[in-house]
Amino acid sequence: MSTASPRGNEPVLAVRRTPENNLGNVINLHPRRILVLGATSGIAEACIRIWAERGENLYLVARNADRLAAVAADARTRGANYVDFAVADLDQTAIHPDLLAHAINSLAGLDVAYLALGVLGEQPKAERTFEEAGKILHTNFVAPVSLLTWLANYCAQRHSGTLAVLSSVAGDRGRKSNYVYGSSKAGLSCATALIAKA
Amino acid sequence: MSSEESKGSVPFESWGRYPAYNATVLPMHWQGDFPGMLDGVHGGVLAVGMGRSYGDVCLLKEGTLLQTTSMNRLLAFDPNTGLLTAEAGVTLAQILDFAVPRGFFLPVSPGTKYVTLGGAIANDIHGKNHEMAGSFGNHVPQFELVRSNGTRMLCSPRENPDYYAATIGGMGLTGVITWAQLILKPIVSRKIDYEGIQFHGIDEFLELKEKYKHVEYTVSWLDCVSTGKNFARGIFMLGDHSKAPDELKVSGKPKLVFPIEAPGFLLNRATITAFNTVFFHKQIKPHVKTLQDYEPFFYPLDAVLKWNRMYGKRGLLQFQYALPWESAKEGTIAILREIAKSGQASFLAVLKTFGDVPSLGMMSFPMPGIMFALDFPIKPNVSFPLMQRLGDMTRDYGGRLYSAKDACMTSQQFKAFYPQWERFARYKDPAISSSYWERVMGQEGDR
Repeated sequence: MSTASPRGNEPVLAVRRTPENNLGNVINLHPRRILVLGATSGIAEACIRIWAERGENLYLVARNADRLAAVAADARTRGANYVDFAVADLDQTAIHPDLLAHAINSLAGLDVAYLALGVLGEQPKAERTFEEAGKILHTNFVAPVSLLTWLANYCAQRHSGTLAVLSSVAGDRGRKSNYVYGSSKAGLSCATALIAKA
Repeated sequence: MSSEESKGSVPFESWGRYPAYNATVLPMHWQGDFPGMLDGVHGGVLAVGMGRSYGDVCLLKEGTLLQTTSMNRLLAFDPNTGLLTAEAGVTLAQILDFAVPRGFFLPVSPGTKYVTLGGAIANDIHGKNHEMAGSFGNHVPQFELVRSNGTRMLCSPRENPDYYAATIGGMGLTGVITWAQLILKPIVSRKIDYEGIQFHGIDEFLELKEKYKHVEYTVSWLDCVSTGKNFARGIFMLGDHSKAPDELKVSGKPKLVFPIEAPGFLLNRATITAFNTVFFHKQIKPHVKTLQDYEPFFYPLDAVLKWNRMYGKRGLLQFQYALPWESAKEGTIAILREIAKSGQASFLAVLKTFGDVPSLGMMSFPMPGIMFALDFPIKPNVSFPLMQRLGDMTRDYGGRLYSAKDACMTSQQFKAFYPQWERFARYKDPAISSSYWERVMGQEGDR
């Protein structure tokens, strides 16, 4: 995971409501506003559970409506202070500005954007046809760069915000068996590191 | 999210580690995965959870097992009513981690918390409070059942009541449960007001049971090895949730794992007799009263992960019966004498009574009367004929054995224990099967 513009963890001031006042969840007095892009990925879901238990505010984006609904319901049940979500195909870069603006509006600001979108793809197919290779590069590299460009400008204007981007060890040391995936993640790591310095 | 997930055609073990069959294990992550995930899969399938049933009810030889443990989301909780909605692969341990800090507890607790919600329904499990609470299904107002033809059914006593009844205790054979509701009960403390009382013989056990019938949880440990004046000695254990408000923190994680397969000679008559004597006298006073955390009270064996390795590679058999009141005492004494005579018993014999709250499941195990459970280390040529004899005695006394613990009952015994099986079979999903079902239907080796 690479982070652009790291920001210290604020102490979570939390108390647990007792059954008498009918919630039983943690009240986070300073919930962070967290946007999760690719919220049905396994790693993202594990993070969402931790954030939900801490009572953070969450905006979740994923492509599959049923799966996203289950992840959002789980976050609400475990105690997220606020959960909203959008079903969207993030491959469509044209929708990114509206989607991100809507998410930030819903969260009333942004503390963390967590980018977990990505596909492993089918390497043998990607070696035979550029169509498959192009799809992998688009989902893992082009689409995240589109999101990061918008988000980095937003954060830079406000001098705050954390961009957390899931890359892969396959992007640090390429392997022949999945070089298309690896090169998409190598590109993403490079872009993220340099966006952080820009 | 399970770290125990396995893939490919591998041996999938039940808790008894007998029988062992290869199967293809496919993780099921989402409610919508079934039946689409089976495109291109040939042969039978079965949804499984933690593999904590003992025999072959969670096995399907050379078939496909859909492991639900990563489909474990909590979908809704109403703290006013205690109504929890969750995906079927969530474990009771995970439910407790969520519920206890919020002041809630399971309505029915089995002897281990490492079972899934779906498995608890499919086996209609019971606990120490059966007299008051009935079995697990009594606290499940509705669930979704997905059939292999893609039909999704909401099942409750009002909607699809026949599938509701067939699925509670239906051993996973009626379809795949994707989510279910469970009514949790309020607690104010993790603690249990515990009492332990020594008894000698079934008459004393029944007197204690009558005397303490107002107590929610009762169970007895029984020495099945001793004869003569120590025949059927045991400890009657009872408890209620403490009413004194106390910190409701999450349980710690178990630290002990049974390290290796124990060699076969570790469990022999001498060691078991010694264990039973120590256990009986560990409680030095005939009557002990104390405040105890719920973990050792409900799940004493969960403190050691993989304790079934104690029985070595050959595994263990469990013999668990329910006998109706008419024959409960006479039958229990006769069966205990047969077990003591065999010299095959291990420790961990459990004796309790079932109350008269009717189970909602068509194939549920409990019946009003006495329930008894005992583990046997497997010894070829000895264990299986003994299990056959004990099964026949159970049948002759009008009782039944528990499918979730069984690896031995014959087709004839099954049909005598569960004469409603033909009606149940109408609700079985044609694509779903288990090695248990093939065995009790007399179809072993047919495929």
